[in-house]
Amino acid sequence: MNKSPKTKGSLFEELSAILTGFSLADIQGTGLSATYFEVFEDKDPDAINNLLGAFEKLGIDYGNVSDDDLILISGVLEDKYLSPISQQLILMWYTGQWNFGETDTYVISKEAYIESFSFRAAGSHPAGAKQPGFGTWQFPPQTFIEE
Amino acid sequence: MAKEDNFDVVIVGAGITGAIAAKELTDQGFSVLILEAGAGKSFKFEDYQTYLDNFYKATVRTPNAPFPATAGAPQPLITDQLGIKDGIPQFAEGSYFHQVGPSTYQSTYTRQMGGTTLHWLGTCLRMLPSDFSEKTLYNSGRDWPINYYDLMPYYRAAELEIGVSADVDEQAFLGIEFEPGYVYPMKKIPQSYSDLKLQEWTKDAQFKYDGTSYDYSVVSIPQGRNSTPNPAYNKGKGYVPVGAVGNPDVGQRCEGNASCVPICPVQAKYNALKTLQKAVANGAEIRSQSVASKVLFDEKTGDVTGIMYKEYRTSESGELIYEEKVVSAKRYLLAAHAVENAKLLLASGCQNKNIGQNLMDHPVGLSWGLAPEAIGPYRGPGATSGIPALRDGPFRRNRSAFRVEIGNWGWSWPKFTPNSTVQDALKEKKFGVELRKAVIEKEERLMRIGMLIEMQALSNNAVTIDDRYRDHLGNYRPVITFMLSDHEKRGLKAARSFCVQMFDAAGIEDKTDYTEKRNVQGFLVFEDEELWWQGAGHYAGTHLMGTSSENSVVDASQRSHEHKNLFLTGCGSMPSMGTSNPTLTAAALAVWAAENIAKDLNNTKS
Repeated sequence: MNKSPKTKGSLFEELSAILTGFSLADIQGTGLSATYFEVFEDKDPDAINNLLGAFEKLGIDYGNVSDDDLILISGVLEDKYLSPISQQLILMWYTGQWNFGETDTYVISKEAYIESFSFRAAGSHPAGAKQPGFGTWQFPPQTFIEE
Repeated sequence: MAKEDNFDVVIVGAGITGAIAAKELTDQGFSVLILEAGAGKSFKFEDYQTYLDNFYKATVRTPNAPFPATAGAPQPLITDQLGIKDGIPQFAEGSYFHQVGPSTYQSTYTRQMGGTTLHWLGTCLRMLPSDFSEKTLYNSGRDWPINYYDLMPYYRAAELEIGVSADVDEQAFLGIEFEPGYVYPMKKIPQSYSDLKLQEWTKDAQFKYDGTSYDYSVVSIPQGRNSTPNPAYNKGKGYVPVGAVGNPDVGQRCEGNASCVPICPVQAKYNALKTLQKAVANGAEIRSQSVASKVLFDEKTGDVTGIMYKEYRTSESGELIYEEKVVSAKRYLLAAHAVENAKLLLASGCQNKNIGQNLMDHPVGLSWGLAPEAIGPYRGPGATSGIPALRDGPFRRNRSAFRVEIGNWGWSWPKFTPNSTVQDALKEKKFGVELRKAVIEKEERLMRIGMLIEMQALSNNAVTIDDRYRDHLGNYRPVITFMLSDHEKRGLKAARSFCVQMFDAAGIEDKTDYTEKRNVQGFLVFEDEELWWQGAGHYAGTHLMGTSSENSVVDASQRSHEHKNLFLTGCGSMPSMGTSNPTLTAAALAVWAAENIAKDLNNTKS
């Protein structure tokens, strides 16, 4: 039986989850996937559509990503046209910025910073947001547990 | 231009020292006007939120990032510094300072209502008793004309006004004494997990240098940051934390936002808006966007007759326009921080040759490493503990003392983590869970140490003015000449050695690498060793206190030697800072200055 084709939006979310290492629930929980997708459509629609197309072709079942699937994905990312856009995607989720590291970078919105992943990936929360409460810094840190 | 109402006191600057002086004076019924160069008239929480939004939207989260300069009140920025090219420091177009060199003065301050306490860390260390007589004890730097014991009641007053959290038993080291029975208003801010691990890993360690062995330990830092009130404070009357201005239920405790520099989202950290609000409730008037441009003097007596200021705004067409006004008072207090106070006096033609000289900072040496196990950075205030042991000793004859600050925020300062770690992993073509693992495995172990090096008062380090360097209102821009002497460099070198030894004792892998800083301001080579320092944001010395107009700008009461109705307070009045972050001492001096002004006014009345 054929599955119904995924929408671009849900492809974008699944790809974002796989590339960032955060879960689909984390991605959806930011409330930002539509905003981020729009930024890509605005800045480089060909690149993002090519990336989504290449990802769709792999036919990966998000709920069931195997090591072989990851190898397939890394193969896609090796492509010199798709590599920059995929890194852009990862950095956008991690920093909330478009073109992080370049002179024309900007923070997409304050929510983008607040929901950004880099401090979370480092075991904490974005500086200035999602504060964990008085005295929490005295306790041992949480470590990353792979889902 | 019309001369305005006669106030009892006109204060220049709505930062912590101006705010405290205004509050103290209005508490006693005096009429006070504060002239503030920058923007900000509001004590509304929503208006503070715009600062927070600026912070969230900033691509570089430097100390002034949330607090953009107002058009008529430019301020120094970290982003002014563009590195070193062919041995010459480079500065951005439109930089506020004109830096003569040879070293770059790297620190910044904020010209807004509330001043630099908007972005400060909140460290509230008293100076050591020996810091007040460096010249006598160690033949280095300057003596103060007062001592620690003179300042003790004012330290207590400052610790109350700021709201300092500390356990007094831990803080009586290196000669520091407290009044019997004294406790701080709030109990210490909990030390971070990484502080406690470092303490455990170094408990038997010693620092060996120049033939001497030093024991050391990790000690909690007193901070202007809301914590659990101490019910024993004030003989059992207790203390009620002051929350956010305009929303006092918010910020009753530090919530672990971990963004103190540059902004506390909930105002659990003290900022001077809290004191300004009290001063205004007492009847103080604040005029913002009113930059003092000249102090006017009576030619014969030397008395101040008024302060000329430029009240500016941006017109509908985007033009910067201003009106020149003069306001007069019975007494005048300059509280615009070390650089602006000096600049204003120079612009006014004051003849005292010490004005602007003896500019100091705390050069901060940074070392960074990988702990042997996860310590969990980016949690809590920027620093909750330090190591005081090397802040004093006979070695100060030969080299600067240093204070060790244990950072809680990973390698963000020297290496821009965690984002830089993410970029590194991307360069290795990592993605997904593998990327996350690579990030956490490194990030969870990051430790950064800062070493604050004391500076001597050196007269060549100075703020001056020059007709070629003016801002858009025609006011002078500070011209800065600055360098470290060998005394400081020896201190920086010793401090680096301390970190090397401490990391080794603790099993922390030293990852400090200054080769990548060779073209960054603060890099230097001393005795064949590469070293690097950054500014702590601690301006001082430019109108220091002393015994005569030959050696100082103000006397022990912070009155100008030459102009008897003029006082200057704040860090600029300090002949030395030792290794203490200076704000607490500046606040104590502000309380004292207000007391002296009040006495003066009361004596004149009777």
